[in-house]
Amino acid sequence: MDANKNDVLVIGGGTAACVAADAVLNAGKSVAMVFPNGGSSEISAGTLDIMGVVPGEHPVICDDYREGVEKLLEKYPGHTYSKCKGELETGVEALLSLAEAGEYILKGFDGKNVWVPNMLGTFSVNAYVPSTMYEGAVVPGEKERVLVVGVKGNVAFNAQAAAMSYQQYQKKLGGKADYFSTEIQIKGWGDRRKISDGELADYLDTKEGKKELVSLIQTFCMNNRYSFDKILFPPVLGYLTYNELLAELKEACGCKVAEVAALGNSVAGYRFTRAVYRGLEKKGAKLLRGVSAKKLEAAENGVKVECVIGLTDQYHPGKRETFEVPAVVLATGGFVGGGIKARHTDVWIELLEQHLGKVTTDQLDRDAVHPAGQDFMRMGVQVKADMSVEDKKYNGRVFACGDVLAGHNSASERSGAGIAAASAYLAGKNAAAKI
Amino acid sequence: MATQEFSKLYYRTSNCLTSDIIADFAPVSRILGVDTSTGMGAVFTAMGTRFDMQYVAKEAFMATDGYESDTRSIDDTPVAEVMRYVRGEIIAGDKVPEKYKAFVDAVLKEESVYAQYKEYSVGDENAEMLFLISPAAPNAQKTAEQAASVCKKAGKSVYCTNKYKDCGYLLLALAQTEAANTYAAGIKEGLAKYDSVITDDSYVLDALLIQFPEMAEKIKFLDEFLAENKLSFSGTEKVMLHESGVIQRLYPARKVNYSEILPEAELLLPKRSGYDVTDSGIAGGLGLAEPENLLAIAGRRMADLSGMDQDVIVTPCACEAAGLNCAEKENVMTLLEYICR
Repeated sequence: MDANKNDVLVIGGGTAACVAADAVLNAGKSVAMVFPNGGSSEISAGTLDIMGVVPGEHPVICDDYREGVEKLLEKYPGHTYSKCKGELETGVEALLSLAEAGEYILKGFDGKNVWVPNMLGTFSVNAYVPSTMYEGAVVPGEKERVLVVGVKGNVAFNAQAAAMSYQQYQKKLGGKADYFSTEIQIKGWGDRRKISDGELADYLDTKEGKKELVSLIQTFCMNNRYSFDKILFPPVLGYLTYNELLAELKEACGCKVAEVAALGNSVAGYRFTRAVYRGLEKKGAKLLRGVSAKKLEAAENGVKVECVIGLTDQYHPGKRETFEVPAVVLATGGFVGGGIKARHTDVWIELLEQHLGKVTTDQLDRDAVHPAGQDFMRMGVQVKADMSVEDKKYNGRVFACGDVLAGHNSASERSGAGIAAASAYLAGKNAAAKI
Repeated sequence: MATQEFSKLYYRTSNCLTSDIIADFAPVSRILGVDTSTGMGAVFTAMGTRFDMQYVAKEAFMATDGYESDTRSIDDTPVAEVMRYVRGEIIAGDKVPEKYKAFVDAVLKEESVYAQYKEYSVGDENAEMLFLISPAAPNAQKTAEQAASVCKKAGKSVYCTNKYKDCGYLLLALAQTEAANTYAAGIKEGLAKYDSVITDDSYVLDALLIQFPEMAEKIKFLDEFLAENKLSFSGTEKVMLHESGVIQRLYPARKVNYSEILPEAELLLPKRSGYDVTDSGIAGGLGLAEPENLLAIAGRRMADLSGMDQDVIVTPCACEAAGLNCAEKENVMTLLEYICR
């Protein structure tokens, strides 16, 4: 387990890290990724948001994500996209092709954003959704009969409440569907009152699980007086063999079938992340999992990165190793479990030993989910036009991308995957040029 | 682990163990069910009662594969460590539930928890190498014969034994650090005289590496020994590999390339493999405390391993093989059995 002296070292394991690694490979150079556990993509919904909403007192919803980026930049000229929007299409393409190589197909809508029903009973805006969710997208003006299926004991998704909510909420989007709901009882895991998404997905990966679900739905449809145009399931149709199950359900029901969009920390996020990793490994990237970068230091014509190999605890100190590489891409993620640390009002980036300042009251809105977004979320690492960090001590050989960057509020803008893809592709390309 | 940090850590750990996504990777909720008691989960209930150990004892004994949860924890919550600490506190506070008492007593008395275990040693005690037979091995004599034949191929003399049982792994897993250190001191001399110490039990390996870091260079897992000695074995079957979670997660620098050991075989890996490898549930013997849990986890893993038209399922770890074979779906061979078949 090693990174050699000709590798670009990518620190991180989420969407940005994977795209940065791909950009290095596409430049014909070698790359190693180090990360201790799953990245942001693992706790994502497994969909790609590029630019959904221009935040503000009166947020503007973007139908077309390219136009959305332009509108955003008019309002926030210093936004992260101002540096990397030129690589947006390439970065997104790279991400799609990595996911596809790992058998996770993401489908787009010709540059348009679409609304897909989600587990909350509302609709989420996305530019690309996995094939399992594609047919669930709202088609404005289309009259259709939609059945929402819940599973008894799976408390994360209440089909009846979701169907009622979709029925109301769709009006804002021009939807004209009629939503119905049912709750099925799967008995294959025994006499249990409640079951988690993970366990349900695990069961539906088995032959018995698939057979039971297909049979239950088929029976329900046959006994129902009216047919349905579309059937929506919770996003738990297996970790591994979801495409197979989806195809079986379509054949059995004779209509469109889709999963509703997951929220964070989802089965879909796991599928997406693992598929992208598989895609990267097929292309020759070295994925050094269970490795944490602890310290960065400038070296002659490169950067020294001190790492600990292996999970650590009081019994396991891990193996310390220092890699000396020509360039580093920092893709550690932001505030949530990422590279930006905060305590009380102080905010800093540990790896860069950089204090970002204090969160002040004017950066906070009392409404936690205010449509303008919380301003402190724009804190992060400052980079130059080539995405190298501004701190001169690294001689322009440490690049940054994704959520760790300053100047964006991806949570409010629904732009996380787009910023990750665009900034990471540019960072990876420029890091590769240092070899 | 500093006690003042514990409540905070425990809160995060309980979050991991009962969260929907990690539930699949931590067996606690597999048996108990998510949110069984109050809608906030059994572990949360314990938090609500100001952390009374008797309420969390069951979770602590069921969270056997906490390192899997560690890999999914985005804020680096040390799930395995916290649950180990809880087990220690439960024992110290004399709050061990009745159903785990016999198991805990056996570990504290340094008895093997494996029913089939019988002490067995063979070979010259002054040999170059020591081969530690897994206490989980169903037939220690057969394992010793296989180990001897492999070592002979490498041109080394070997003494095979299971007399050190799990080398104190379960004492460590129950956070009985002092007892584990005493046990380690007792076996140190027996290990130090050999040029190398090999085992095909990843939990024994873990215990040895924890207790004897100064001997880390000469302590090897079986597959590492084979790769270092460039020993390769014939066989053209489709081999489905169940890797060792201990190696993949805790000692990734010790990973070896199996295509060098089995160059003619068609090596298959389940989709969940490598860092993602899911355990058999036996957890170095801890899984035996809660057989229902062990069967559920082993069954889940066997479903992963069985679906790819393989000829044989092989694991380098004898303890993992014992765990997987509890599922009684398909016989799992150890690497040692496979290369000596």
